[in-house]
Amino acid sequence: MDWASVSDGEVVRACRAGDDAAWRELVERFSRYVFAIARAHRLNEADSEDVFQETFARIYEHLGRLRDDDSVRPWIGQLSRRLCIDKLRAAARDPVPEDGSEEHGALDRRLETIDEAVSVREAMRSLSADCREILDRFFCRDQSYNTIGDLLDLPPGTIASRISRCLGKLRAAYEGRSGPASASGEA
Amino acid sequence: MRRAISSSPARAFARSRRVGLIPVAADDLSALSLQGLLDELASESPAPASGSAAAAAVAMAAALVEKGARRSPGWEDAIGVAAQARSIRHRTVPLVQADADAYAASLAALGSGEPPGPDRDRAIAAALAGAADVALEIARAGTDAACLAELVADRGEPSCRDDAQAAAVMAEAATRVAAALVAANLTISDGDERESAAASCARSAAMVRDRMGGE
Repeated sequence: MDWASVSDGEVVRACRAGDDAAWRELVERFSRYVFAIARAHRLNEADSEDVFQETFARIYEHLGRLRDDDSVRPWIGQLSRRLCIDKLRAAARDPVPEDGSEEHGALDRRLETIDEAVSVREAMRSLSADCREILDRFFCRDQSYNTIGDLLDLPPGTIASRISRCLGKLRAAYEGRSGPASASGEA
Repeated sequence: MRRAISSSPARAFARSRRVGLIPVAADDLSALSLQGLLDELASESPAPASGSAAAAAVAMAAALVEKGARRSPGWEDAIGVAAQARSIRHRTVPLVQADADAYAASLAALGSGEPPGPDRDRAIAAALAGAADVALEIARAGTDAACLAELVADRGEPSCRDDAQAAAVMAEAATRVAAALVAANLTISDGDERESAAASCARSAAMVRDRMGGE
């Protein structure tokens, strides 16, 4: 099964139905997100691994309580953040600010950046393979218009316009996905 | 209050480091003020030199393109073009330092006291190839900046056309410089495809500039 075009909600539903491949996809899809949140909290490698294991153990245990399958990401984000803070408090090596200190603000900004990156990645999934490829080649691999044109058999002059159109689609998909979301599960 | 700009020789020396035997003036040229970068380009150190200047020119051209796109709100592709111009700028800025390092490494290899032989030849070839790689990246980015400049001139706000045209001229000049550097660094490598790739970039950028009527 090609999971690339399957929504988060559909993956959750398949997990709940006992589909092992869907569970692997869920872990694959969100593992980097969980680790990124752990890094944003400045956890070391061992603690990050603990958070990762505990997060997915709780997801597995409480998946049935998720009220909105499409809200799995904010739920995982909230769960991971809570576990990170527990970890920091338990270790008592890094006081966790209670309110809006500068460090707290910096952490919030790091977490926002992570959420934004994940939203963009999800929005990318809704694009055509052609759009995904051309955006990846230009923005991620830093390939020139000539290089992309040669590889995709397109005149270089059309590459910039095509990238702009794909960016427009990405933006529409991103704005459609990044509306206000709140965690709707419990763990 | 005017911002103090320090470019004293003592300060430049304090920043100095070496690649092999070749002094390179700063750890991160892109972090310098414009005045600081110009001081480094004017300094006695062999690096930074024309490749770094070409990279900076491409970054400036891309910035002008981005400005033109941002100032063209009625153009459907403006945001996408601005994003591409910004990407070109961001990928080009590090090449200012990369070229200085690569050039210094080439000079160090050429001037090393190693006895003639295959090891020295390999070291020189590797250093020159590294310098050619950086210059080719600059040429590619310059061509891309010129292509985007043409789009802005054709479809952006008419008031942005002059800046777009200036961007194309700067990008084309920088591309030509970079292509010449690729060729110079590959003189000992016959038939290297990077030389033809760089020459192709220079031709493409020149065609863009010609279409736009740049002098």
